[in-house]
Amino acid sequence: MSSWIGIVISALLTGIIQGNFLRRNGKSQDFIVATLILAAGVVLYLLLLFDAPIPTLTHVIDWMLEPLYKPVAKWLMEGTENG
Amino acid sequence: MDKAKITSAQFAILMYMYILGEAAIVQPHTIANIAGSDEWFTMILSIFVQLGFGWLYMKLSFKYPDETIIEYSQRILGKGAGWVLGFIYLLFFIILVAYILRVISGFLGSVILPRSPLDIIGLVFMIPVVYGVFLGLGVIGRATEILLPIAVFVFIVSSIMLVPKIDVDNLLPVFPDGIMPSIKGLYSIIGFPTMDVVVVLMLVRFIVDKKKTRKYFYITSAAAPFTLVIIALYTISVLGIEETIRAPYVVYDLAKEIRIERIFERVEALVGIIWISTTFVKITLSFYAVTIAAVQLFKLTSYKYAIIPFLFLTLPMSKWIVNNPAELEYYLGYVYPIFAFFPSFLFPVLLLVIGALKNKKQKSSGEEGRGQPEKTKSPSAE
Repeated sequence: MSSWIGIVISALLTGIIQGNFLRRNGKSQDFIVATLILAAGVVLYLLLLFDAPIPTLTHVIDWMLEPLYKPVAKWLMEGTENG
Repeated sequence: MDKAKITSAQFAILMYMYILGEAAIVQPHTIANIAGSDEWFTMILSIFVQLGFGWLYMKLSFKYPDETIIEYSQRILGKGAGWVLGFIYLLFFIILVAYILRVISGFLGSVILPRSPLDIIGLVFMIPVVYGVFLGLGVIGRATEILLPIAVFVFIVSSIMLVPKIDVDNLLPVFPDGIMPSIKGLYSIIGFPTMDVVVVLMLVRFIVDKKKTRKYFYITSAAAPFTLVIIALYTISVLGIEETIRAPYVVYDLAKEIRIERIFERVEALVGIIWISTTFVKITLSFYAVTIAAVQLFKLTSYKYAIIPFLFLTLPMSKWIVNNPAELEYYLGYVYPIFAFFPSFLFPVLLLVIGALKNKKQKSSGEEGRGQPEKTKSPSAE
């Protein structure tokens, strides 16, 4: 738990430092993109930190590709101990 | 954009380490589940598949040698559709980085640093990766030239030390259930690592001496799976099929078998250097592809501004991606090959076909030269 808090704080600190640098140098496009990526990362950290009921990425991909990979997986497992 | 350039030889070394990457850690175990003691034959078959994918990527890359796939997809498909395709590649590389990080954190966390939190292992592993990407592809290439001899030396020494432990009976009978299990085993290895080589489409642009690239890349494409053949032969003949199926990190367990009386033993962490260095190269190149894709998609002034934000995005993603090692193993074995099929095979083939059709159409309408890839360098090329 404490390690996560440390990572979130370091993400915020580096974000502030880099954001200030980019703003002072007039790189607004870089500032916006970097801030959005960092914000996405921090939000995901917080969701995981507070055990939000979100499915894992593997579950999401699994659900999306199930019709495609299930027949192949079934064929692969035929004849094996798991099959 | 990174101004650094790499030579064809450095590119080949990078790709050798990249293909071996984590495949050597997870695949012998995954494929043994399907192919049994004939997994070495699966690895032999994978050499030809790897060469086939290598041919596809070289064909596409050399049609547009001064651009990455992010740039020429916009040229072939038009601005909108090309941008969307580029964004899909960006997501693919981010997910790839997260998976690699999850596997290596799991590996280190379960066998070397059992009481350390995975997040911290991941963060510590990512620090040299981030620094390498910050310094650029040239530095990554030169660092790999140093890492490869060390990894090869440790590999050869450990292979020699394992010779007395080899029991050829473990490899017999050959093909007890026919050749089909070996062919089935190919499915997992096509996904990881064969199709991961799509990162080539982001890197060829940075090579200086492109004349030698194809030759070196094909040698690498055969050499890396051949190394996996040797690893498969060792794991089965030393540990036996039961142990190979049971152990999630079978190459590590293999290294535990190195023992010369009581003088020389417990060298598995030392042998782990090989797999940590290959994984380092794999994750560095994937992370580099992420930052370059972001620069070209979002028109950033430097890829360096995207490094730290992406670090703090991939770290939680590596945690979010799977709940447990069993889920990861199932994903890599069965789901990932289909997931990687789109960006690694379907889209490159589509780009190649549409690009060729466009060229043909332009040639037939008498506008010579306009359909060809432009000889001038892309705006972002140095």
